[in-house]
Amino acid sequence: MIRFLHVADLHLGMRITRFEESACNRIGEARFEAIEQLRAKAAEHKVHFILIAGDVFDDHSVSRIVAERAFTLFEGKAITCPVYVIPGNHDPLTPGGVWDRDPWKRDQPAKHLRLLRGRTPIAVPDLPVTLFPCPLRNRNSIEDPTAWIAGHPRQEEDRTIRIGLAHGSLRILPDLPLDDHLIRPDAADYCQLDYLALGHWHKPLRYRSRDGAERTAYSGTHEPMRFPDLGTGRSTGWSSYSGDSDAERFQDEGRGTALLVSIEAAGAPPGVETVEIGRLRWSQERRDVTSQPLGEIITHYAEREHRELTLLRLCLTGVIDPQKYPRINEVLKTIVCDRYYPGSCLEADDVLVEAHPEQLSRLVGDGVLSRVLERLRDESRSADPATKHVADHALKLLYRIASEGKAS
Amino acid sequence: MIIEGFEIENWSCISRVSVAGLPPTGVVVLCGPNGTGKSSIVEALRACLMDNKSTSRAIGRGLPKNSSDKPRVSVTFRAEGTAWRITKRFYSKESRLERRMAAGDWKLESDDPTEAHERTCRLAGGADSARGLHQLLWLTQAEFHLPEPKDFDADVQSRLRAVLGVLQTPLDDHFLATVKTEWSRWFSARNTPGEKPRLKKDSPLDKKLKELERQKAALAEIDREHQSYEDMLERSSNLEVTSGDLERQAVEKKAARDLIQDEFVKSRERFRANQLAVEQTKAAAASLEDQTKRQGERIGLEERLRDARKAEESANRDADEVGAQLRNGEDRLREKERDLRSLADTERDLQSRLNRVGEQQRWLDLTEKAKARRDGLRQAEQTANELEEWKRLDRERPAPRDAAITKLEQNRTRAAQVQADLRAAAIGLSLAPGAGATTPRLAIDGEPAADALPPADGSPISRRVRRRAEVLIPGWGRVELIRGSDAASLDELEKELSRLDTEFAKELAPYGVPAGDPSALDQLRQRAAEKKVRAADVKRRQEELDRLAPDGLDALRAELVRIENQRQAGGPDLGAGTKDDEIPREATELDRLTASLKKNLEANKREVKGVEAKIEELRLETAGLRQGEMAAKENRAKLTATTAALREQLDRLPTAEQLEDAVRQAAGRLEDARKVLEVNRLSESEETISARLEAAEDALKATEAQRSATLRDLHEIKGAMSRSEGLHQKRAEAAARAEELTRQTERERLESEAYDRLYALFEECREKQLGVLMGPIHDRVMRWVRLLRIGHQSIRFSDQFLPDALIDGATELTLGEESTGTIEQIALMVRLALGSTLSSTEEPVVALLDDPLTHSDAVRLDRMRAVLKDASAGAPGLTPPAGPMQVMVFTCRPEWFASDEATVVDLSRPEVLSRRS
Repeated sequence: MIRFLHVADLHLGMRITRFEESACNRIGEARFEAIEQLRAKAAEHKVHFILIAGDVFDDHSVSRIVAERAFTLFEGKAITCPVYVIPGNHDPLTPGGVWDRDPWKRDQPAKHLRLLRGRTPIAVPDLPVTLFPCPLRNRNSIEDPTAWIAGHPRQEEDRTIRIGLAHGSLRILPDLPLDDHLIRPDAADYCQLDYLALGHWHKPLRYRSRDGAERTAYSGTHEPMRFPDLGTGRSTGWSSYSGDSDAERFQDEGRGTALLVSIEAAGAPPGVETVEIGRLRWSQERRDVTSQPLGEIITHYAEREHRELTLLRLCLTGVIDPQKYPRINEVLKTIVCDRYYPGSCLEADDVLVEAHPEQLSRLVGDGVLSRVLERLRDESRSADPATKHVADHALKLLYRIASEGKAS
Repeated sequence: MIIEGFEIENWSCISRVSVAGLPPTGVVVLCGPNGTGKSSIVEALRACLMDNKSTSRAIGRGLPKNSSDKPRVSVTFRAEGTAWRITKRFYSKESRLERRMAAGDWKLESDDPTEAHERTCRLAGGADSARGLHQLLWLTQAEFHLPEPKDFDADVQSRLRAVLGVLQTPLDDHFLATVKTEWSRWFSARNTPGEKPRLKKDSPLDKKLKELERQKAALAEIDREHQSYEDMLERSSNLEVTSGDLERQAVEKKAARDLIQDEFVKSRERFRANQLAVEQTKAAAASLEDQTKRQGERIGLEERLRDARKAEESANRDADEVGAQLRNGEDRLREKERDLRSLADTERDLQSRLNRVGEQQRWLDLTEKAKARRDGLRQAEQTANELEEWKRLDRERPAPRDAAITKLEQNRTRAAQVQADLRAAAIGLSLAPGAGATTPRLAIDGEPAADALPPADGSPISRRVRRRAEVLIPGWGRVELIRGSDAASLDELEKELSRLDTEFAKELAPYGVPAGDPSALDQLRQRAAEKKVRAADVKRRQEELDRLAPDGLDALRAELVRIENQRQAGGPDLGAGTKDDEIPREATELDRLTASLKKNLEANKREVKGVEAKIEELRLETAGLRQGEMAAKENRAKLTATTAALREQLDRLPTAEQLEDAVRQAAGRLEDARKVLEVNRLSESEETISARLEAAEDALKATEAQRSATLRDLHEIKGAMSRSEGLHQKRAEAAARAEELTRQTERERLESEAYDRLYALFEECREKQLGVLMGPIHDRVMRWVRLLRIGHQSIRFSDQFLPDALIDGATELTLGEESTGTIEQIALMVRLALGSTLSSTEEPVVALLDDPLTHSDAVRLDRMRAVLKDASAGAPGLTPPAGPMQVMVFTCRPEWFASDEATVVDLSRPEVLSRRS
């Protein structure tokens, strides 16, 4: 039986712009730290080798430091097995690309690392395994990268475990861009593969073959790079280089994963297990201050576990008392920004501040301010989003200034 | 507080004034002409009720001049439902505050100056007549502007707020101050109401926006760079594909080239055999062609020889024929030359005779000419002599010109005048000797004494004396007559006469006429007239002479001599020659003969010309024939030579039989070679193999060159791509910075817009609230405004209760922008409206107007009377109600303010007011 780890889409040197510069750097750093966890898992499970199904780098123009760090991570002492890598659509095998620069351009094989540049079957030393690497040479292509494997059918006497290693979109979703390196859904069967390790999609996904075995799988990204369920328009600045950049298949689960695959023998169904190797957890959460007391929310987020490794985006909604509203910024925001991973944020723009009727006269008096408040509340109900947006914010300011005035 | 009456003594110019029983409300007109002391009364009231204690030494103009009397003021007023009387003797401690009791008697409340003053102030509404309600209602003389909002008494504002309602709370003030402070972080001023204000330059948001623009530009630059790498990436992929394809093509083309090359090697023997057969066939064909050519050459030579012989015979015939024609032509030419010579002789004879006739004619002409010249000379000489005679006359009797005569005439005229003057200036001397008297002797003007004989008719002896006369009377003595002092003019006349005579003599001298001759001038006139008459003849004769002898008489004479000489020299030879040649002597005969000879000569010349033309024609003809003969002979010689040469060539060639045999043999050899060639003929494939091989080589080279170029491009891109290292991170960082700035600016923009909205809304709401609260005041003032026909639709009041703007449709004016009269009227209306708001039936207030409405016209003054009346009556129906007022008007024009209801106090009445003398 052989055992290996299947990872993909490391996107080292990832372009991320959503956060402040220091937070961006730390989020980028977490992707390297996750590789260390991958190495630890490899040692822990005593895998025979690691397969990286493309997109080690986020782009060809990553810095030399990024390229060298990646190389060192897979070549260092901490690694205990060979690592097979193919270029993906973010770092395709093109002249002058990252694979043509030091340290990746040195002659193969290195100690552990083996960059598979050609579309030729590779026998894994000392193991009954034949790898069918499908390196990409373009950002986009209408060619099925696995098509060439069909030209190498299993020979009668061949009892090796045939593993395909490719990067592209399995044609199981509607409306995929035609040049997104589309792979036929039955590629594993068609190419007589025992397992087809895929990269490109950021969520883990397993796809069954005709015999019911899960022979085709996406490992998902090893480290999250987006808040789960984040709609369009709130991207982190990362681009998939596909025609539909924000598509669902590029949304991750907020955690980094790899697949631990074990195969008894050629033709045997692979055993696939999801292993979490991500450093950070990205979490987007919503709380309604109308239905849940603000104190409770504050307590919850102040005492939550693994705060320091959670990148949190907390969105508040609902209506709140003007006297309580300042606590959102003064207490809850401080907790989110200071106790969670850098880049965490609190968004309370959707919170509406509303006083009780008996509070109102006490707060704003019966002078001009009371009329200003009435007008603002009218504008807050406006159908024009811009007017409403400004009015909501002005209301918060009015309550704050009025409270300060009362206090003084 | 209202004033019931007052009593003032020794105040400024006032000795004493006493007014009592003033009504508590309504208009009170206190009138008096200028200088009565109206303003002094107001000052005294202000001082007594509010401004000064009795001990005060700062009562200004109140102190009477040139008097030691202390000013004393007593005012009876009503306040807090009670009547009070305050009496102050200034510059002393004498102060009394009294209260009127129900029975009408006065009860002293205080005689302490300080207490009395302070209590009075409290009752009157303040210790300063320029503050509190008095600021509104107590107008000094000619004061018409409303107080500035910042100066408007806060206590009055507070009282108005209490009556009208809450306008702006302290919380509102705090809110507005905070919002303004925050707002001013971004904005400086709102240019147009309702419009969003412009962002303040260099505000934090402005700076951030600029920084964002810079970051976006930097990001766009990096994006462009990245895009160029992306393009290179795509291009390199394409080039790699192309390179692979070209490599495949090169391999295929090389294989194809190798196949053709193998084929080429294999076919090499057959190429050689084919080549040999081709060469042999070519040689056989060439041999056959050569023999055939020689055979043809012989046939051609033989044919040419035959032709040459025929041509030679023809040439001989031509030469003979041309020779005969030449000889005939030469004979005819000689005959014509003889004719020509004969004609020349005839011409010479005719010409000779004609010459002789011509000479005779010329001699006759010269004779005629000589005669004419002689006649002309004679006539010319006669004319010349006449001219000479006239010229002599001119020289001997010169005649002056008209100007000279005029000058002489003027001279004589003037001389006559001077002489007349002299005569007139002379003294008449008359002597009438008696009978028997001796003859006196007279010596006049220096002349020697002479006897003065009396005229025969017995008349006295008369003489003219200019200067001096001496009468010697024998037996009696001497009488001397001497002119006196006016001799000078006599001298001048004499001098002028002398000058005129001298000039006259000088002018006459050239003409030889004596100056003393009385007819001298007439002589000159006659000469001038004669000369004028003669001048026409002289001119005519001169013209005639010029015509007869244009070059002078000598030239005429010389010509005559020359003609005579010619005539003498050219005498005709009339007798020479035969009788036929005899020359007639008559001119007419000569003319006839000349015409005949000329005719004959012309005819002869024409004949000569005809013969000469014929001779020329014959000469040309013979020359042509001579050339033709030579050409025919040359041709004959050439043809003879050609014939000989052809014969020689034929002799050198083999015989016709030999040549026929050689051709037959060559044809046989060619047939054999063609058979061999047919056996070794190449297939189509073999024939094109070289071209195919060459094409395959070229195609291979082209593909390899293309591949090299592709690889070169690929290497270039590879080099360029390697420079993109780190760009991804740089791009991410720039984008992150831009996004962060965008977030910050959006946040700050929202903040600024929210503050701006709060500010705008606050202003809007405050204004609206103000409008509601000021409604009663506004309506009352506007009612009065309309009464005065002041054209404004409404007035906007500030939160200090003062007019902020006068509104007329879309137009807004500040009060200060109105005319002075309108400002005064509206200001007074506002004062009265605000004052009446603080007045009540129980506690009416007094408005004290010193000489008001000085800028109003008569119409508005009339209407203002109604306003004052209305204001003083109050409006209890309003909410809040307007209380009645006591309006005291100090004026020098009672007719402006007095009405039926008004109380008029005439200060000019001595029992009311007495002035200090």
